[in-house]
Amino acid sequence: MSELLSAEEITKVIGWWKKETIVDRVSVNLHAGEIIGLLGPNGAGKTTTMKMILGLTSITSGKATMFGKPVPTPASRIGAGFLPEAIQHPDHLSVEEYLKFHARLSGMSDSETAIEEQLRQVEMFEHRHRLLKDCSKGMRQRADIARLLLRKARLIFLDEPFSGLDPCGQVMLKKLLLMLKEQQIGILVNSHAAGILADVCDRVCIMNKGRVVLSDSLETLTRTPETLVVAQFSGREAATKFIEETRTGNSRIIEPDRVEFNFSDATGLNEFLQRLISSGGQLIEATPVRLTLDQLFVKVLADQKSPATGGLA
Amino acid sequence: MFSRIRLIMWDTFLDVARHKMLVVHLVFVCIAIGLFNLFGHFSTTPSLEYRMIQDVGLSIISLFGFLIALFIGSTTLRDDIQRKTIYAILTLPMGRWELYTGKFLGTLLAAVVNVLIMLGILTGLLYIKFGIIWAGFQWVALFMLLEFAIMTGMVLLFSLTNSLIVCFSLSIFCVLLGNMAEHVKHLAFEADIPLLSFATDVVYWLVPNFGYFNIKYKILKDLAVSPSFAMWAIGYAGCYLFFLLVAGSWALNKKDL
Repeated sequence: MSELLSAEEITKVIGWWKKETIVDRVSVNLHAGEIIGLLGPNGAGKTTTMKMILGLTSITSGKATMFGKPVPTPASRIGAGFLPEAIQHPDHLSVEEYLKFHARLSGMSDSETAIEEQLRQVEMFEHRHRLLKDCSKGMRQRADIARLLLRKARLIFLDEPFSGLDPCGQVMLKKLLLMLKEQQIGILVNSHAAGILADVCDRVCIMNKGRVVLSDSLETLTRTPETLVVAQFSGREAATKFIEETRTGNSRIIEPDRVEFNFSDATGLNEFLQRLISSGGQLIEATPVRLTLDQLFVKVLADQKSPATGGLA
Repeated sequence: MFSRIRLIMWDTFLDVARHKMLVVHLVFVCIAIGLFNLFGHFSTTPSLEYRMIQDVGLSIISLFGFLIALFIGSTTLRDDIQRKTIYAILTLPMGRWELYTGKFLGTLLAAVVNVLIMLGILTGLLYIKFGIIWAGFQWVALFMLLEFAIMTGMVLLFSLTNSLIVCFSLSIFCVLLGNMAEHVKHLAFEADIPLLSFATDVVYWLVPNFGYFNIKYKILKDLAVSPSFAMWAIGYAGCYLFFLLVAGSWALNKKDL
């Protein structure tokens, strides 16, 4: 996969008299066909990171490249597109006129066919004559994505694209992002909506107070050392007897003859399984425990607040 | 590059022209000129009446021209930044100076068209009432256009500051000072304190000298405007506008959005 974006330890310091670091040595790289989610609380520096990469805000230190070209040169932005949060579109323009304006700005002479193609792709062709002010937020988001695709953007930056969208709009946008991923478009999306990010992202960077505190694939980040085992016994008495004898892991009777055990280490688990079989019990299910991205996010923030205590808040 | 600037210029012009505020301004100008037309009846001779309407009309246009310059200049770029529409444009592979130049030219065009409309209304009123075409109209139009172009460019530059109050304060301060530029120069000449002399000298050269464009007294007294003076004023305005354009492009380039 070709690398579309590379940011190495980019830092942003603001203020003349009282200096404040709002983005602190953030490194991100993004490849074609990959979706990376920037997750963090308000003021974590997610939007500023995007703006620095796009050249909208200067980088105090560190360096970034897009398509191998140094940021913030105009050449680095060829093939990049940005959808800002809560952008207010020109009220007087229809969806089609809006796209035409941007097509002409991008130097596209014959844009009619391309506009039609992109409007169909984002399912907005039927609404092309509708004024932007009369469009729902979801429709405007799709019109903006069409604007980015019109320029054949291969790297897309989305700032809080799910905020204010109803569930249908969120599902539609999610589908659209996955479709763009299939077309080998790289996407950097920043959002508070951890649940949605978990559905679309390959990798997630959790930011807090200007720093990346966790960054890895979703698979790795949500993994825990715990395993959940469900076992079946001949009856409630057998189940209770087994629990008393073994005294391993956290157990919970979920049905009269079924018990759920939680193991935090593999050694204990092997020993447990041998005992279970020898005592006549049946293994019904053994699944590794995974955190949801929401849980992980809350855990990371709690750890940041009180590193000594740690654990889920 | 030039097609992008032209596109942004035209879009800016249309965006400004759509503002209801400007329509309100123009309606207000019509009403005000109409009212002063009525006041003209109090004068004793038709000649005096003509002069009175002309004088009051030009003063109203000056006032409203400044208000329009202040309104257009302070909102054009600022609104785009606040509405975040500028992000969609600046993330294109183009320089910020291209955007600023387009905005600058579009804003100037809007200001110029507005002043021309106001002057047209005044000239129309004078023609309807007295049946004569205003002699020297072309000079008044030229000098006023130059004056308001500079004012608008200046406000556009100040609109890049973070506060609207700062933008308004700086603009009003510069317009007031620019109209008293000759007094400032005199103060610089007369000042015994070297530091004060230096400071006033700097202010004199930095702030536009609107005195060059004030030909109202000449028009009202039917004095001729020499072409060489007009050329000097055009040259001065051209240089000053170029300075404003370069300064604005630089400021936008340095601005963290």
